[in-house]
Amino acid sequence: MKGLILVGGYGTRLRPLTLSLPKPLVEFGNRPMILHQIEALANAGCTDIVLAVNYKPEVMVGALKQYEKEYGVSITFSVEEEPLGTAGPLKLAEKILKKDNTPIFVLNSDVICEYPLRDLLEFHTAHGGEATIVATKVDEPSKYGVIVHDRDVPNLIERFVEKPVEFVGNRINAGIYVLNPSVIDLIEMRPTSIEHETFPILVEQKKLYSFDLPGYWMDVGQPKDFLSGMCLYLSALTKKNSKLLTSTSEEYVNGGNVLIDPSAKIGKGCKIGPNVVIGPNCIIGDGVRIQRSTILKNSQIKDHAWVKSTIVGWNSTVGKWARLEGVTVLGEDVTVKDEVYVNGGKVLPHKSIKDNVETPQIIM
Amino acid sequence: MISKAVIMVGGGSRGTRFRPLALDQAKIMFPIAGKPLLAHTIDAILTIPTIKEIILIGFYDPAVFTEFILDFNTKMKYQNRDCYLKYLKEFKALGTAGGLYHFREEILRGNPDGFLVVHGDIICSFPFVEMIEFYKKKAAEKGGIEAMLFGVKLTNYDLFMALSGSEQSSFGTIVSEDNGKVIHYVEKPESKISDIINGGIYIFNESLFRRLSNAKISKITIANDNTTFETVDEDVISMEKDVLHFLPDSGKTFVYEYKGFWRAIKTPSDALWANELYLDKVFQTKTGHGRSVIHRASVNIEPPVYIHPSATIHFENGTKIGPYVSIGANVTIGAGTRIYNSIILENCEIGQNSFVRNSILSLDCKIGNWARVEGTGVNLISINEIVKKNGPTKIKKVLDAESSRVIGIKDSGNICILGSGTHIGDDLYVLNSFILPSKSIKDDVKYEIIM
Repeated sequence: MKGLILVGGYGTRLRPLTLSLPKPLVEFGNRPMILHQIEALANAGCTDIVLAVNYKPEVMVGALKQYEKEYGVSITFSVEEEPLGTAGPLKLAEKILKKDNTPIFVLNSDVICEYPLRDLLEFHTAHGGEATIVATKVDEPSKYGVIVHDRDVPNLIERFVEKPVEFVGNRINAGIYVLNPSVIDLIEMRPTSIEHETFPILVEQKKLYSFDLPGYWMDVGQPKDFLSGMCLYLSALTKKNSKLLTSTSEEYVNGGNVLIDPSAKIGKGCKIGPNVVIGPNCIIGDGVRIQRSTILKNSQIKDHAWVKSTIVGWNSTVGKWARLEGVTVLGEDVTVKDEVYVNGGKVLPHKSIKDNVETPQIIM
Repeated sequence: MISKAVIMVGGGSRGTRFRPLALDQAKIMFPIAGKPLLAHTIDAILTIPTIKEIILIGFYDPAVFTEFILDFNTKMKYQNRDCYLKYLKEFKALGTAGGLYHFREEILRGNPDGFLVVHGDIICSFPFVEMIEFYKKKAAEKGGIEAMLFGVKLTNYDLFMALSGSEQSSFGTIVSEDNGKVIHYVEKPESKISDIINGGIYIFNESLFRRLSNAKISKITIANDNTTFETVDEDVISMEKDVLHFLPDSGKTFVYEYKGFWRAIKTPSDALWANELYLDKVFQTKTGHGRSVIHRASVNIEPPVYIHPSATIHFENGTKIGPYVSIGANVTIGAGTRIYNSIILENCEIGQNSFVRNSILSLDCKIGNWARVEGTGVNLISINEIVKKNGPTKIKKVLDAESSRVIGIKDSGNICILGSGTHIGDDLYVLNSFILPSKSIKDDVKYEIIM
């Protein structure tokens, strides 16, 4: 089994975090984002994983070497000279992906879900088509490309409707696919889109099926969605009674869905949660209130601070009685001085904030 | 011998600029640094050894002062001091001098050589003794003078005007000769005529009533004149327009020049200024007044701070209070809470890990845990920084820009005011807002007036 992860570019949508670290290495739920996908692929029996990237930062090469060992997989970078779209990378990595006859998983690196890849594979083998799209149900299908099924054959895709004005269904493409190696033959070596060019051919041939994704799904490519996705991820961990979560019997845990690295220190009289991730070596002072936020590793939240809907970047410091909210994102090594209020500030690395930021803005 | 002082205290239907705090209590009785505004003035008057009688004139309901007057007179008796306080209520608002005319017999009873008149909403260091000495000296020199004005010499005219709100000219201006003789008085001039403004304190004698009587007669004449359409209330007399304006003509009015802090308390943010200035004054002179307790500096206290002895402050967990905080009776403050530049009135309860700055909490307010009540701009320190950065000439522009979002009043900065009985839930943020009494706040409030 083989997997391709579409990583793409610099992850500008997740700045200021991605100014310090490539997006796949930004921790989501205390683990690099890409690790959620690598683990899912390894668990589904993949031995070869290709990362489709526009650039290849050294820091990523090193990190992934470590994961190769950890998960017993071979990880290859497929570097595009020019952006090749969503289908081009498959062609580029043809050698590895077509080395045997087993199906290929294709994952989007921005997507967070439960990755039921074994069930997906079983489904794919059973229907006998060439490819399977994972579909997720959304409330407002009018913003997406919607999948319309064949009237007679269950799960067979009849057509796609881009941004439908009338309700034709609420299943959308979740950015996760299983393809037979033969699908690669349909792709030309140029920038192409798998959604708009390859899949329509398979629809014609009546060989494209869809698989309903159980549980949550979120594109976490930007800060607002990163936090929403974090809530979904933590809720799923709670549902599974995951041992990763901090026990709700801890005095400071409020409302559950709290994931705190064991190396983090929590002060007296804190109220943390719901929906909080605190990374390794973080120091949380006394009387701190945190909700719906991610605190990345080595950061310090001082006494009596109040943090909500915020991502605190690595090695940052939040002062006493400071108040952060409104999808504030602190880049790496940011200092928010005592008593300062920040609402929706996107703060670039190594900055110090001394005055209130009342309205959402970028702090250069 | 100056044996009488008159304090013009105003009344309830005036002072609307002091809302929403004026909805809870009389402005003149608003507690600052541990005692009512009025008590600061009265305590200063008591530094005059010869004072025998203090008369309050205004149009508040007498009940406003009943308890205060009783306490005062009892205290004087107990201290064996021959000084009596009373309140004379105007039958309606009589203007800044109408009350003096109306109660002229009360004031002149016992034939005082002269008497002090003080506007009740003035705060300053009240150098009454020095002013009286100067009055005596001038009277001896000139063989009697008509009046002495208290002139506040502004060290930075532009800054003062900028900080006093949008109206450049809300003060009377005094022009004098080197020897102190007043040669010109203009009320609310449109341009800068002099850097000495009327400080709302005067020493008058019997001759005042001749002027008041003349003013009264001319008003009655106008009121009875059928040929003019001008409507005049003959009972209302203005100190500024009907008296001060004409004083320089006789050449027998002098000005006592004062260079210290001075401010008229008009709006709630003025109350925060007064709090800051009075706390500083008490802390620096180290002369505790009455029941006031100015705590020493500690891990938890950054002086000057006034905390009523009956208040409960949970000092564990890094609670930090000050500078410039006045905390009233029976207030409870939870552990890990931070308060500065604020006035917290009686019976307020503040939870744990909360944050209060540049705010006034009226009686019986309740604030939850991890709440933040914040005004962003009345602090003298920050204004001084703006002055330093921009220089005095640009200050007006800068402050206007700063105050363009100010709620309710045009003023020198943003503050937060919670009317009595306001409840603020856990985790909430109230920023630069006024909340009228008895409201329960369940969502964040920013730049709003909540009715």
